[in-house]
Amino acid sequence: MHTSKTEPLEVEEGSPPLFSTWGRLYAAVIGFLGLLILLFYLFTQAYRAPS
Amino acid sequence: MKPLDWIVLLVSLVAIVGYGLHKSRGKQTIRDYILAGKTMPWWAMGLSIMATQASAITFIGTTGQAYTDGMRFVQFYFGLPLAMVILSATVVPLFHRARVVTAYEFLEQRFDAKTRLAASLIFLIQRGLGVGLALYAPAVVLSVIFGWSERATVLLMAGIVLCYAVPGGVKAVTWTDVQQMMLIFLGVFAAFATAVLLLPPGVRFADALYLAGVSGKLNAVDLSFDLQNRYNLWSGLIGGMFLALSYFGCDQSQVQRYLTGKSIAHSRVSLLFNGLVKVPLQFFILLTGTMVFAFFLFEKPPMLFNRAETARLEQAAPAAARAEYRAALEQYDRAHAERRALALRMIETRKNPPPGAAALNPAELRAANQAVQEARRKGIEALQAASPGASYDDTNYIFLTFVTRYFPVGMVGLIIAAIFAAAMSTISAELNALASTTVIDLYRRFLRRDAPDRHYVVAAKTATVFWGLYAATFAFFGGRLGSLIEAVNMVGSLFYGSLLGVFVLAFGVRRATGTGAFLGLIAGELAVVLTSRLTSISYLWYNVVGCLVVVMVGWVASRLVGSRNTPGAIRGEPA
Repeated sequence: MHTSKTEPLEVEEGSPPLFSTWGRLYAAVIGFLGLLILLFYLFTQAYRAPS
Repeated sequence: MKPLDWIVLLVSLVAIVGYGLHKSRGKQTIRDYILAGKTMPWWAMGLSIMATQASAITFIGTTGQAYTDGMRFVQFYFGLPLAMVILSATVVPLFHRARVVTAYEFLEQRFDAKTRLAASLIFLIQRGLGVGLALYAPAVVLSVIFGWSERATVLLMAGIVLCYAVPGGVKAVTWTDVQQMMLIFLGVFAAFATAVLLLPPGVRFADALYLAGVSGKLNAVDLSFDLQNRYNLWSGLIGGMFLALSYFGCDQSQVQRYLTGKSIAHSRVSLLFNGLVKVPLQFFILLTGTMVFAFFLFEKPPMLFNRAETARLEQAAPAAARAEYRAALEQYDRAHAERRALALRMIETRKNPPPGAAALNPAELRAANQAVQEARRKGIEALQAASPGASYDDTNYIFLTFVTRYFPVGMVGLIIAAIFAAAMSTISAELNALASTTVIDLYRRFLRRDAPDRHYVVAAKTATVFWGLYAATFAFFGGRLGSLIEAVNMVGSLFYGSLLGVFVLAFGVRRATGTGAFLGLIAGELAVVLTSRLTSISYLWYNVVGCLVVVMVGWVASRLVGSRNTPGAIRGEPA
């Protein structure tokens, strides 16, 4: 019921693009998020309304 | 809309539907219909994932939200890239190796039939209400702005979606999503560029940013930790991550997108692509909203943006309410004129500071903004006095008012096409997912186990039509549902965390049992309902509460109550 008889049992893994390991790609995504938050924070501070 | 706008809209819609049908032609098995035979490349899945999440209200409501509340909403998405990484590393390979067609099928492999049934029913209830709202919300806004018939708009959208989603299945939905997301990107960039170009002569982009910043609209990051504050860095990172984990990991409308991948790597990259692009895109949409705000500092916007409500007041309200409204309108005109003059002086002073003179105090602009808001508040009170008990929120009308009044011919058609695309991409993916869960998790599992493959394809097409008609019926009566609409918006937050907890038990707690997970699910739901009733914490935290309670209670209950447990499934071995 769960598995199609015509499909191979092996599932193709594939390798990550641009980086040698998945861990490095994940680190790049998280690093990019950190950079965005930092840039947004600086943007907020640059245009913050003086109290 | 002018003829050129209609041409742009119609050509876009016909091209999208035609392309989707063309790409999905050929014979279909049920796995083709639901999983596209696992042939999709990462970029098509990635764009489809984004298009499914981006509803029409996301597009028109987010710009309006920036206009009224500033850019802090962008923090809502900060947890999304983290969730994409976690799902890519854990859920994606497990789902692929388990060879499931739906997310809930995995729960039976791991636990038992009742856990699968409970999760499927939660999804059908929640997403069933959601798809009705996804159809109703843009239809009502477009009908007010353009004077179109609300029901005709609903029928048009639902009809177009069914035209390609029923015959083509997930392949048609994914390939149309690709076109629709490209159109949305184009619409967002065109809207931003036009908003900047429409700024009055002498007012530069930097000036507009300065005025928006002084007015408190460029508040993209708030570091304060406050459970009652809906959007800050922490609610976005933690609550937003739990919400994204639930939505992308447990909601069939998203799981189905990346299960169509030709390999685990393609599915992973599609999610990571979403993690990279989503936050900058939302920032950009919100920035467009702040440009609309800056534009309306110089050009007088309507006091209230929902024309249908104000027309009703002017025609049918008691004389006292009408007089109150007119007084508010006069106050608004004066307040706007004063704010406009002040904004122009501030820009002039920035460019040519008079020697020896004190700079203008930004607090003056904030006070002028408050005066405008005060007049608006009185106008809303007059509306509410005319129809007691009614709530008024015109956030979703701001951007379209701006577009229809000031955008050049042709550009209006492009923006409306992008809004249609955003609505249809969400609705088609949701109908597709509702049909697959109905057929795979209910019909094939509990009613008709061994029918020929062709039978299930017909059943899935029938289920898509059923859910499409259901969504249209919901949208037809949407106007009469009133506060139920708000309740529908809450439903997602009430269920998502608990559903995520069940999947965390399935993926991460080796000793978890079916009965333990089921009891945890019930406890988690109770905890979320009590939290929403008894506390005032922001709804993003409900996902954290629900998930943690399910995992804790599920873990304890699994230790105390024995049940069938198939740890082989968690390693992806055939169950």
